[in-house]
Amino acid sequence: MASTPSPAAGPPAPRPASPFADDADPRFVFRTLLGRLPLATLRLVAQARGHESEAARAPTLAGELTDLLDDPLGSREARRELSDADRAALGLFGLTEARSWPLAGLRLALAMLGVDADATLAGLARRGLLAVEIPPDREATDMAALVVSDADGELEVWAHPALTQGGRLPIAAAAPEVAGTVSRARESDGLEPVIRLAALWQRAGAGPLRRTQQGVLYKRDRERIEEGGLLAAPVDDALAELPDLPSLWMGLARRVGLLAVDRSDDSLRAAPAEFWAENALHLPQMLASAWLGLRSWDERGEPSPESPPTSDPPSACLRPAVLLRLAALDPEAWTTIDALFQSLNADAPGWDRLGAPDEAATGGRRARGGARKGQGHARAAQILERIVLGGAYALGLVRAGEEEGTRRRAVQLTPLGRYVLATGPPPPPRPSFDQFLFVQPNLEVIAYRQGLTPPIVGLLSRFAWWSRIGAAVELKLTQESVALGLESGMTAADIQEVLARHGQRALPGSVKDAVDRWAGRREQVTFHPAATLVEFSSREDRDRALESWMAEASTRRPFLAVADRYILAEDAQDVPTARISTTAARDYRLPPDRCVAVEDDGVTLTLEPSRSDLLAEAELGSFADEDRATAGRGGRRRFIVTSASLDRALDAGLTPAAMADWFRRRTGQELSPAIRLMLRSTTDLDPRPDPWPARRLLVLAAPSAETLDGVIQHPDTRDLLGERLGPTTVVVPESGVEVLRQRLARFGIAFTLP
Amino acid sequence: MSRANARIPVKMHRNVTLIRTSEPVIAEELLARKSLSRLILARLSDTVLLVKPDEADGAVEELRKMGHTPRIAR
Repeated sequence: MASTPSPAAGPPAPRPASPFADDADPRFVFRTLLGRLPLATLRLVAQARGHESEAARAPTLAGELTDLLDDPLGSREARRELSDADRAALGLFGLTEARSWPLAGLRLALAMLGVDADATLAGLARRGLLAVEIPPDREATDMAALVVSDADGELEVWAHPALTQGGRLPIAAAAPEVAGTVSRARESDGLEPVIRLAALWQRAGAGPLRRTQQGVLYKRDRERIEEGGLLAAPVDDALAELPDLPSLWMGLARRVGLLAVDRSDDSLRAAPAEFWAENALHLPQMLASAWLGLRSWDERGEPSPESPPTSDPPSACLRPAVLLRLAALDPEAWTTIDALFQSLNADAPGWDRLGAPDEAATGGRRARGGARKGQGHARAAQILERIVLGGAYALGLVRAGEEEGTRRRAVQLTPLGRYVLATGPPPPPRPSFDQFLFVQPNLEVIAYRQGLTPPIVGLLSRFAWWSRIGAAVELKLTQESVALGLESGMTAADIQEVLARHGQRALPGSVKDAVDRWAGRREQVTFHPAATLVEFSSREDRDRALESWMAEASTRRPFLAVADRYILAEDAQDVPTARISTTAARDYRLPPDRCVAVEDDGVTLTLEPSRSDLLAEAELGSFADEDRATAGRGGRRRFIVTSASLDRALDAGLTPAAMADWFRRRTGQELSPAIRLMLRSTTDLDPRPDPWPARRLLVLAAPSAETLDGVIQHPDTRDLLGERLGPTTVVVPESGVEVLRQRLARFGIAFTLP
Repeated sequence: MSRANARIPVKMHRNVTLIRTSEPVIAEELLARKSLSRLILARLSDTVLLVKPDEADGAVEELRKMGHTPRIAR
């Protein structure tokens, strides 16, 4: 059940943190877990398996034991030696398509199937056919002892995948009591989950569903998928109401692969439209298997924030056990929900405590134990009804009726239910009705459910929005929905053909016109998220290349001339690399390069052609003017920053801080003083300062530096001088000119004034 | 080697985010929309606009808000 992702639309289930990634290879996990056992324990495992080894390290021996199971002959041998109870335990992994199960849940499910859980799990662990995920901070011990320990129910148990696909599970438990004559039998068409998932797929296709670090959808995206109530509305013909339906659909969509996690930002994205063509036929079975092992959603609903934490296994553990009990009945036999409840109680006494508040969590207040037991019993009955009459009924696995006389609800597995549980042949295909659509001139489409099948649901989902799901189903053609259909590879003619083929009347002209118009409008704007631009040194080179490339290229993705020197290729793979010599390359997903040099004047910026990119050129052009007359060395393009160009950039929204950041990234330097000077005058950041003081100075010029050194040093003259401006010049304050003249005369020096 | 068979020296710009329109007037319309134009770095030609690399999702969203249903070139 580890394949079940963490919930996307609700709080994550309380599970111990696992060091293994969600998509880790189960064989690798299995090998790693075995390798954590002490060598002595592993030697006993090897002995039990009849494997002789000279391995001196636990990981080596664990590898050998896992290799035996990886090998088809070895795994066949291991399967041959399994008992029925072993096969039931391992088969639960395969039935639910789960890589791991919670230990307590596995024990409970086995007990419900009449299997001695402790003995079976201990035996499998002793032979190294099950591995327990012991937290890294705990010392690995004997797994056989661990799997029977009540204290470790939350630990995950892993089975080797070669052992989990065993066909029909041997069911030791007796069949529940057969009901009397049953009337008013009914079963669902199983389409409700398929359509709900199709609607969810459409919403994820319109934009990725973004998640917080906790794996919860952002409010905006949660509201987007719940818009219109399509996903949150109760299942139309379900006999038991299910809680938190959006989470159920989300969990199922992830398990069957209609939604996938984008590792780059952890958002959920819709699978490609090809999913429907490849999987729609088997989608009912896929959904059933996904539901049987779904742990991110629970029949008990989301716990309220005030409710105490519970250590109970997830109700997902009950689903396969409950349905397998029904599979023990003859195909034609019915049983009542009450009889099913009692039969589960007989083999797994106390299972109904699953619905009661956790004693440990509530402080063991035993005084109210009776009331709690009654409450738990009712809650367990509700869980059972939600499993059988809610999920299994909606998925088309169970049909329901009424026992005559008692009017108790009776149930039996459908052919699909028996097939999913590997106890019956594939179900017969549904009768098909080709003309089941009523396409209205207002672009609404009514679909009669008798004509719908999962492949047709998938086909319609590509270009029409599901807007209402009930006895009759409604879809809506919109510009956006048609655009998505075209995006998935359909043409306007394809869409019109599907509507015409399944329509009860001729396609209204307004619908045809709208589809054509929207398809035409879509061609007006093309968005290239990751295009390749090939830059040539001259227009002549570009035109020559374009001509020869177009002659050889496929017509599906033609090359396009852009500006003077570029060719646009939608995909880099299309560029004929044998015809070009790449002198420089720039990947725009990487951080920008330093590709601009600042010349000495501080305002002239030169672009380094081998490292520059279109962004740098565009950014430079926003605040500097290209100096085409004086290109730098090697044809380098030069740009001049002027007050006018800065004004233009600031008007367009560029801030001095952003410009300083650009300089650091592109030149590796701070803003040049000359540009800072211009920015002072053009921004309000530096409010207009007081006028700079300017004054005339009297400067004494000596014939030599040596003479001036003497004047500056001598005590008679040094206090009469101001700042030295250069080797032979010094400022003389006006007030001391006459005194200085007299003192210098003592040394035979005279000076003239202008 | 003849000129026809010579390899042409080029500079490759990979993973560039662009908007291409069928008519120049549509590019004008896009540039006139403030919320979109701030995501556009330059107009490479009459019909091709260079989008800031980290603004791809935002640009598509803006296009859709304007009523366009752009073809996304994969």
